[in-house]
Amino acid sequence: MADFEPRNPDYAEAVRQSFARQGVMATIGARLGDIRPGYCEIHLPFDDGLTQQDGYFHGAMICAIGDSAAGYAAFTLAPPESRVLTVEYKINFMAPGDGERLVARAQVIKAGRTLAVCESDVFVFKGGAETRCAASLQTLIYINSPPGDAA
Amino acid sequence: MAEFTPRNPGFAERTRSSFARQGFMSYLGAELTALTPGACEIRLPYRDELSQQHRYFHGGVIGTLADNAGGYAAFTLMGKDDSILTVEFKLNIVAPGEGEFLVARGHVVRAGRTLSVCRSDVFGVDGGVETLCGTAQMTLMRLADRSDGPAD
Repeated sequence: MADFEPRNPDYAEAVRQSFARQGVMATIGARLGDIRPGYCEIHLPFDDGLTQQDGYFHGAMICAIGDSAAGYAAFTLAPPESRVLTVEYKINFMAPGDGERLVARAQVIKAGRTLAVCESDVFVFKGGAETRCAASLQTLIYINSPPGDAA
Repeated sequence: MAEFTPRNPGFAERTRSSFARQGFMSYLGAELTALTPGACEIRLPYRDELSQQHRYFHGGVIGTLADNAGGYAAFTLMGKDDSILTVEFKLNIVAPGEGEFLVARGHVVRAGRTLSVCRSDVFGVDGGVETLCGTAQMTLMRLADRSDGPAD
C-alpha cells in the first residue's frame, strides 16, 4: 500500500477530536482503533441494541463504522482546518455480522485535492476467528472550513 | 491476499478459452496476461478509437476492463460446468486513463456458493510507470451447470 504524507502533523489528534464529536459513534459504543496516515480502524462491541432480527449486528452498524472508518482514513490526510464529508459509498455484505465485535479497517486509495477514494472492510470476530463481513468503496470530499463551521 | 483453491484444476485453460470467446475483448484488442486462482490480469494497448475527447482512455473502457478482470478472477474458482455473469459493479475513476496501455488486475474478495465479490484496479502504464486510474468493486453470480457459451 502506498505511503501517505499527512498534510496536518497533528492529524491523529484531529481525528480523535472529530470522532469524539460524532454522537452516533458514542450512541452505538464504537471506539477508534489504529490511526495512521491514510488508515483508520473503528471497533464496535456487540450489544443487543445493535441487532437485526436474527441477532446479528444490523447492517446499518456495519455501514456506520465502515463509512466512518473511511471518512477518518481520508481525514488523516486532510489539510489543517478542513473537514471531510462522505459523497457516496457502495457496500457488499458477504457474511452475517455474527460475533462479539466488529472492526472496520479503511484505507485511502487516492487522496486528491478535492475528493478522496477509500476502501473500507468490516470484519466480525467470533471466538477468535475473524471473518470479513463487508467490503465497501467510498468517495469523500474535503471541505475547506474548520470543524464546527456550518457548511 | 487470501489463498484460493480452484475447484477445477484446468481453470487456467478454461478461463483463457472463455476470454477468447468474448467478442468485445478482441474488438478492443485486450489480452489476458496473467491468471492465478482468484486473480486475473488484462492488458489493453492504446489506440485513438478507445479515447474520450482528451485522448485519454474512455471511462467506459476502464470500466469494461475492471469488470472483466474481476469476472475472470471469479471464474478461475468456478467448477468445470459453471458459468458466471456480472450482477453489478461500481467504479471510481481516480486519475485520467493515460498511457501506452491499460492493465486491469482483479481479485476475489469472497467466493460464495452463488455470489462472488471481487475488486479490480486499473492502471495506465506510461514508460513502464503504472498510475492507478480506476478502482472497482463488483458482484458476480455463478450459473451452476450452465454452458459457458450461448444458450442452445
